[in-house]
Amino acid sequence: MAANDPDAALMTRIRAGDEAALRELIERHQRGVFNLIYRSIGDAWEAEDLAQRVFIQVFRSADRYEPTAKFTTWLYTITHNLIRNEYRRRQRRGAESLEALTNDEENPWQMADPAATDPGRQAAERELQERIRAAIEELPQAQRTAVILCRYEGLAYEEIAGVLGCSVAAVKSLLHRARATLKAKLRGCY
Amino acid sequence: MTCKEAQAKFQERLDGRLTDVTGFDAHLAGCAACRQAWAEELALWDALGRVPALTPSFGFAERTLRRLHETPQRTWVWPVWRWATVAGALMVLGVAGVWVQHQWTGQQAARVYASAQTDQLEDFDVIAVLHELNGEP
Repeated sequence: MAANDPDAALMTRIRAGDEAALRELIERHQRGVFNLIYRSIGDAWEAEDLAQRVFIQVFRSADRYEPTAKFTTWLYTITHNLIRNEYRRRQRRGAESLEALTNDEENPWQMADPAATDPGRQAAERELQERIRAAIEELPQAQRTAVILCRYEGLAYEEIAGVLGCSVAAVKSLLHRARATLKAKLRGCY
Repeated sequence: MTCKEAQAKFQERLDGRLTDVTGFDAHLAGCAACRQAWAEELALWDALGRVPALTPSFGFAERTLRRLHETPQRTWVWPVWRWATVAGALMVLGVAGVWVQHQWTGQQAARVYASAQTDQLEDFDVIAVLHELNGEP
């Protein structure tokens, strides 16, 4: 597996303390990790903070990484666990997620697919995106992670099962229930 | 393929992982209800794709590496309440140990004293017998 997986090769270097390898790993996976967190908690500032902690954890746990499975499974498992801890922390403190950024001037995060140039359509599109994002955020955590990893990161069911620590059948069940919930919440919006 | 079987394959069809596409499509061609259900699934899946991905802000990797150096590696630190629990348990064990020791020592002392008393009584018995033998009161 290590011979075919460039990430495993980077992890071997990271295990030896090679920070240049860590930088390369970050640049390869920052978008996936950041978006999994952002789509889960809805706060881009917090998502960046947590994403940094994910990669710091990767560096500090490098000696525990075994290249028996895909690196992304291990990476997203760390991410999923940090998100879960963040939710627990928020529940203990009664924190509420910040409102989604609507002012482009304050938004340092580039949209990968910019909305239409027509201001009216832009506003409507942004509102739809916000409703979809909120509906995903309200899903139970396992369903939410399954949907995000499947729909947005393109992970296979087996990988998602590895991240969530469940069977492939359970992943399909999670996706089925998540779709049913999202359909009910977003009916008539799209 | 039944309706239940076809609808159970919606996710795999959405992900492009369905192997029996021909059978699936054939069922949909002949079943309006499943066709409607599939259209709804497809519309939802497409709608989810309208939420674009964000890119981390400029310099994310650099800031992460800087933070790596600024953040001390956590040592094995317990929360205060765990230390308090361990300390309490050790105190209870200590007190129990002292009590047991005291009890044992006391019992040992009692046995020695009883033994000494018995010895004394035995001495007295010997003396009494001697007196009796000598005809003394």
